[in-house]
Amino acid sequence: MKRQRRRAQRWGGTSAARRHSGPSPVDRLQSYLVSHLHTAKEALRRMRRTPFAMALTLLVIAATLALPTSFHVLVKNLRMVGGDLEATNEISLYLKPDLSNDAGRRLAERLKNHAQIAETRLVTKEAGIEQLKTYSGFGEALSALNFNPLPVVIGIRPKDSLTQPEQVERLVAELKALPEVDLVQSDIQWMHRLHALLQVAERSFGVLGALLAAAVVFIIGNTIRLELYGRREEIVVQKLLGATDRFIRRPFLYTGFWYGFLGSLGAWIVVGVMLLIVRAPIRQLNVLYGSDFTLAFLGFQETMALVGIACFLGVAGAFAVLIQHLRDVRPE
Amino acid sequence: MLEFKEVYKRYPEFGEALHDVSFHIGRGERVFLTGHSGAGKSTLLKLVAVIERATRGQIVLDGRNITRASNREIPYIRRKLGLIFQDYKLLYDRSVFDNVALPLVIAGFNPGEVSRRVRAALGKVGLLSKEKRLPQTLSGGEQQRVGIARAIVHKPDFILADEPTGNLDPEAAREVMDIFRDFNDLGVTLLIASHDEQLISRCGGRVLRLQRGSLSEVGA
Ligand SMILES: Nc1ncnc2c1ncn2[C@@H]1O[C@H](COP(=O)(O)OP(=O)(O)O)[C@@H](O)[C@H]1O
Ligand SMILES: [Mg+2]
Repeated sequence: MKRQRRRAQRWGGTSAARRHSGPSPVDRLQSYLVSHLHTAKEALRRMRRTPFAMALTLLVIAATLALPTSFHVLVKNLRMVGGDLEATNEISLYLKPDLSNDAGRRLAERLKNHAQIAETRLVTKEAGIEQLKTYSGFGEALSALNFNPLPVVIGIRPKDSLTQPEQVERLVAELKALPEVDLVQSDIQWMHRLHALLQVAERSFGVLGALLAAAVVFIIGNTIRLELYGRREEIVVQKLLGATDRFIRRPFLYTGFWYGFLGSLGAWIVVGVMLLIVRAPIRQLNVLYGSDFTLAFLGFQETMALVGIACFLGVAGAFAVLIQHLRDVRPE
Repeated sequence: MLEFKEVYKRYPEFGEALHDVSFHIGRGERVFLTGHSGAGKSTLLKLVAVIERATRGQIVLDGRNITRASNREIPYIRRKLGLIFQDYKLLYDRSVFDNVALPLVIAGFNPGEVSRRVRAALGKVGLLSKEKRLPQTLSGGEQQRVGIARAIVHKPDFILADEPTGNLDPEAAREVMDIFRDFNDLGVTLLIASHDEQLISRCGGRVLRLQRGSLSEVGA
């Protein structure tokens, strides 16, 4: 604005200052803000004049933004599942069914001295059936059994020094080889696999996100380009009356802003509805597995990021087109 | 106010439209630019508003050489001028008020000042009662008066009009000319291009005549 004013003064000259009262600095700032607000409202009103075209464009933008957003929400939820698993980083040893509680206890003692094992926890046959009765809902059916079909289980917590997936794999293989052991189940391996998967997902999120951001820029840019050519005459008249490029660009930048802003709200709603739809099956899974997993939606910061990025993309798309095409619109 | 020094204008597709044009217009003068169609009248006015650039020579407006003005300076040069066109160049989706307000909005005046000045300008051209109308609902003469109000609303030193009465019937043309004369009486400098010799001679003033791009002074 300062540079603009200097130019204005230069061309205003002294005679103009004497004979005409140009706007004062305070006036100028106030009217600058007022005119911005007016331009923003005017841009929105102009969009609403062609509601069908506007709705269609917004739909495309919202769908394009919803894609990476829902992907992000998916990864986020998977990472939370991973976190839950990490909290229970136990290796479970299911012993052969004919082994007694005492034999199990002896094995547990022996394993406690293993160099890579921090702690062992014995689940006797009786304790196992109590747990099953409490959590599974098969209580009555189990009470009807007159023998205990469950094996002794030893829970093993590896030492914290076991950070590499291969180290855990090796320990699991070693335990599997014990003659007393029937089955080894390790959530840790599963978790490592999940982590690897999440890493791939995050990397592809970057590529996908960049591609779809470019798509949003393109969609909004194209919309602005059509609008620009529809308003050629108006732009020519404005230029003849002394409008700067900045003044002429402003309404179009606001149009880009509105498309980005409204498109991001649309994407937010789309992802929200998608989560509502999968909420019921998740609840069923929770009942089946006795878990309390809840689906996470977009937090406040993530929502702000979505809206902010979308607005930026809208303005960027408009700006790119204006830089390219405003030069073509000239009075002569 | 305005000085042309040995100005040439050549259009690549056409050839020489202005040939060695020199003249000087002082502050407060009323000058008519006449000549047959295609003589270069519009081209001369376009050079003053930097819509076209001179091929050679110098143009000095209000003490400043505008021949080599940068693109960024052009808007500020145009804000010192009041431009009036044969085809009015109004915005047909906006009210009379909004059309007249445009130069003030562009220059960044606040809304209160804008209304005050727009009403004053509309008063001067006798259209105060029609500020809410759309331009299509007005007659040609009224539309040109809207164009004039828009050209004077920011109180320019210098008004350039290109065939302002070209599309008007004699009655409306005379009204428009009377408005111009009133402004000139208030000290505004006028340069009006017109091929209507009759109107010019009745209006009175200095006359510059273009003939196939060459200028000659006819005298008052
Ligand atoms: N943009 C242009 N490109 C090429 N030739 C032009 C252009 N503008 C005007 N001319 C030519 O220059 C000559 C002068 O035009 P103009 O200034 O419009 O004359 P007038 O306004 O006196 O009728 C005309 O012969 C016209 O064909
Ligand atoms: Mg002409």
